[in-house]
Amino acid sequence: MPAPLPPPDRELQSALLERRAGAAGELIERHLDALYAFVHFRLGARREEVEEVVQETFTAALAGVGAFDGRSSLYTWLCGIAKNKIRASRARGRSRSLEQALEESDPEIDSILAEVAREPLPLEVLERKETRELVGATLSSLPSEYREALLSKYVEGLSTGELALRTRKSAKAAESTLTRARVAFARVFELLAKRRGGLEE
Amino acid sequence: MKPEDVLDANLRALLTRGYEPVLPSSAFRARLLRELEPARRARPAPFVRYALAASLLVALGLVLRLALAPVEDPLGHSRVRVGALDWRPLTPTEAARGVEYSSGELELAVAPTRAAERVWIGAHGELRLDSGADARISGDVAAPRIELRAGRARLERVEAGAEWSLGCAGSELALASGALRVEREGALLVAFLESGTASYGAERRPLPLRRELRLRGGRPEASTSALESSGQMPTRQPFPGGVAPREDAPSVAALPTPALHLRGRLLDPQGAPWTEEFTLVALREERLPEVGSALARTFHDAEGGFDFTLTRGGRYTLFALGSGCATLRRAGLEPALDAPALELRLETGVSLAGRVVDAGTRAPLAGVTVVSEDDAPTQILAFDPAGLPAELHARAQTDAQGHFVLEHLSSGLHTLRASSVGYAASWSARLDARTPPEDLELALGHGGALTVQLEPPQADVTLIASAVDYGFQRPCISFAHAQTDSAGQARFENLPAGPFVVLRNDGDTLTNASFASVREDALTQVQLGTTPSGHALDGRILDAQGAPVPGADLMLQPENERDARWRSTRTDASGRFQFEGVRPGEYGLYLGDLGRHFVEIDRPQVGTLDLVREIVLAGGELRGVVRAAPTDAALPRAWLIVQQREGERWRFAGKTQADTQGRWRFEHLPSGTWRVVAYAENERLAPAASSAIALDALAAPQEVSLALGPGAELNLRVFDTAGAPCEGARIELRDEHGESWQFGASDRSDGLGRYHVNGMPAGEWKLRVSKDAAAFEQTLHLELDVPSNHEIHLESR
Repeated sequence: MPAPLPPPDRELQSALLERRAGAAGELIERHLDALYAFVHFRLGARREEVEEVVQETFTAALAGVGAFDGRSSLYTWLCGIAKNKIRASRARGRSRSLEQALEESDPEIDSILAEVAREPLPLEVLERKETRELVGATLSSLPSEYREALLSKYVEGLSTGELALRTRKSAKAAESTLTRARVAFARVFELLAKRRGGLEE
Repeated sequence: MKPEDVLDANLRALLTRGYEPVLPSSAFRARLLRELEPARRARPAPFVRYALAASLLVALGLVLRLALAPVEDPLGHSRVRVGALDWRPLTPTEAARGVEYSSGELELAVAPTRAAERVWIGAHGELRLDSGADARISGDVAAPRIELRAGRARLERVEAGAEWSLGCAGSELALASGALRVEREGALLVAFLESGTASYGAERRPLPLRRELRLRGGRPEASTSALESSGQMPTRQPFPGGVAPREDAPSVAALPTPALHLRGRLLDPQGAPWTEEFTLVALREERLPEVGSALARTFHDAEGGFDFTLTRGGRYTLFALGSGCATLRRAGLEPALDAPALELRLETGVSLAGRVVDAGTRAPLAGVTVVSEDDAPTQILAFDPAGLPAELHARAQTDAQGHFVLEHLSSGLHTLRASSVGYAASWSARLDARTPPEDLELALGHGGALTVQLEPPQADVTLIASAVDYGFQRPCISFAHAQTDSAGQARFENLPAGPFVVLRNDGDTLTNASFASVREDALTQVQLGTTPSGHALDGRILDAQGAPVPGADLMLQPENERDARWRSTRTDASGRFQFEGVRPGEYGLYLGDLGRHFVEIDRPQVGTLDLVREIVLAGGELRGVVRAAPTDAALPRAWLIVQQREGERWRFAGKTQADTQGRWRFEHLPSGTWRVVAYAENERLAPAASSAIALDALAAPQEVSLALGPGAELNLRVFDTAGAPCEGARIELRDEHGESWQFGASDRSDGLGRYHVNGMPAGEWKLRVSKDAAAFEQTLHLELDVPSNHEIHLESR
């Protein structure tokens, strides 16, 4: 279902700087879900810690929104803050790296998953919990534009034309985004699978 | 396979099978919003701080007042003070269900972040305070004193009685009955009487109905129109439905009470005044799951005159019952102060005769109560004949041979219902009383049993099992009730096979109605309430402009057909909804009323965590008129489904029914490829499907033409391998192009093994009937005007 196109990040930044009512809420509503998933897969699904890091991230972002220079998206900037918060959390000895956070799995499964761009994945592998975790971790690592394109296409079942309509792009631009998203997903997915399975050369 | 195709296929598989959204809980989200949004507003910009410092000395009196006012809660909770106790935040229960007032003194301040808070004034009514409002309640619970200090409020009384007094900014109001809205704007009080009777000032002048009255120091101020004509614009939004107040309202003594009337006279079939005693029943139109309570009054006037007085406004259906005549029904009436006179003319009516038998033995059944639902002056009908209203004249009892005659029925269509203790009720098809069938027969079986477990368990709760009519053939809602035992369980016996909704009958009917499918000679078990192991699905419904949509009815249905349990709820004032105890799985979320008009707006996947959705309603719309092709006349009450293209198949996404002029529409459709299929309600017309429609949700509504051509009738009787009637056999029909069709809400045989299609396209059809390991296949050739009747004997595969 098409969502209304949000105003650009710069406009939201201005609203935040001016402390306009609702701006902080807009920032949270727009990025909370994705940021939460991003932190979740890097902290090992411990809810209290995840919530603490997410809250610290937003608090820091609201306090330092003047420092956002617009060279990346607001979401990427938030992820940068979150990474710092995660590192701080690790320094306190309370969390693990992404690969540690992904539970121990069968290296054989990971070797199959590492071939995502070359070989069809067997059904029994698709339904494994390790696979689901890897999918979530990969999606949380992608830029929001790629993530939204993949979910719109494969989960919601939108055609490229419908995706173009939703994102107000041309069909060609939408197709191009989708292609880049697929490649990005495959690269990150393979990388994580190899690292987790200890398959890196 | 090419590498890009491999990746595409893998992505599709991973994201449809292997994707489980990881989302924050609703509690965390709410906490984050509360703590971070107000905290930013609470820090004034530097120049404001200096201004505050400079005015501090001057504001000594203000400081004193602030000390008495509720302490601002940085977390955004509404606060309450009871008696001499300190202010405190509302408890979660109070925030969800309202605050109870029974005596003494209570003060309530609504946080700006809250849409409204409620105060239940005993069992006498409620006070609703909107965002930012502040009020104090004191005195006897039956005649409370309310002081509105700030904001907007609404008072509603359950029944007339001792006056509720309301004071605000030096103005005084007294509410005797009905509902009143008020708003304080500084020294101004604006009052709007929705219904009932109220007065103002020491002279007790009547408050005009549904017109704003502005009071300053107890005196009426200039009307809105007077302000506008003098160049001053009102500074507040008027209450909806309000108009400029009259300056010449008469005093209380001159007005009869209550204020609303349905007046007129009753005539006999010859047009002369009805001079005998007669009964009128008024039924207020309510929105499901609420149902209207029928109000009956008896009149006896030499001119047939009547004056039916009512305290609540709205739309009513009026039934007139005179001895020896058919029940007359007049819908869409609105009682008013100066209601125009109605002329209701009775008719003698027509008769319908038939027979009732035992479904198993075919033996005639005596003492069965048969009623016409169309002539029933009620919205709901108990299955138990002893629970039928006395005003239901359109009823008969079967004799020793099982025969019945219903006399003095209104001309037109009727659905008859037969019911008897120990048997499950049974309905006829829609019958035209002007051309009755010669061999009308209703068969009663024993039905099925239903046990309901209330979670959490609670004894002595009245539960209602209400039959669902997907085909909209029954004007009334049939129901049974049962009470939970000490374990929180209730049992219903002899329910007719088919879909049911189970509800609590203690006012909590707006959330989590549970669905149950009753089967013949079987026990069905269902749970009502929260599943401890389930999760919550929270969300908000927003319109295309991002504004919340309050009061929207939602249905949540699992995509898994084996578990056809659905739930319903309604969005609150801020557009929020919540389903609790939702098992993991994929669901369809539908917007619309409970079963008649709805469209899918989301497909949430509930995983291992609570799920929160913000749903923005799409703007696409399809609409049109359904016609009968032979005559090109509009086809009233046709029902339609809308389907969305998904890959190679069409997926069901909504349903509606055309109005009496055949008009229909589907709203809130996202961009995509759609089609609409129309079915006749009763006529022997074949369904018609539109061509595929490319819908742009941002464009204007699209008109779709649909014309239904003549149809062929199909009747099947399915028997299992043992030769017994087979319930629940799956019926599959494919046309000559191989496309599968479904012609009704169910594609299964009923409890007697029957399956009926009133109108389908003539021609060749491939039929497949199956149940468990048995099946049957045949090619049918259907012709117009010749019913196609078949006995199907399933064979083991």
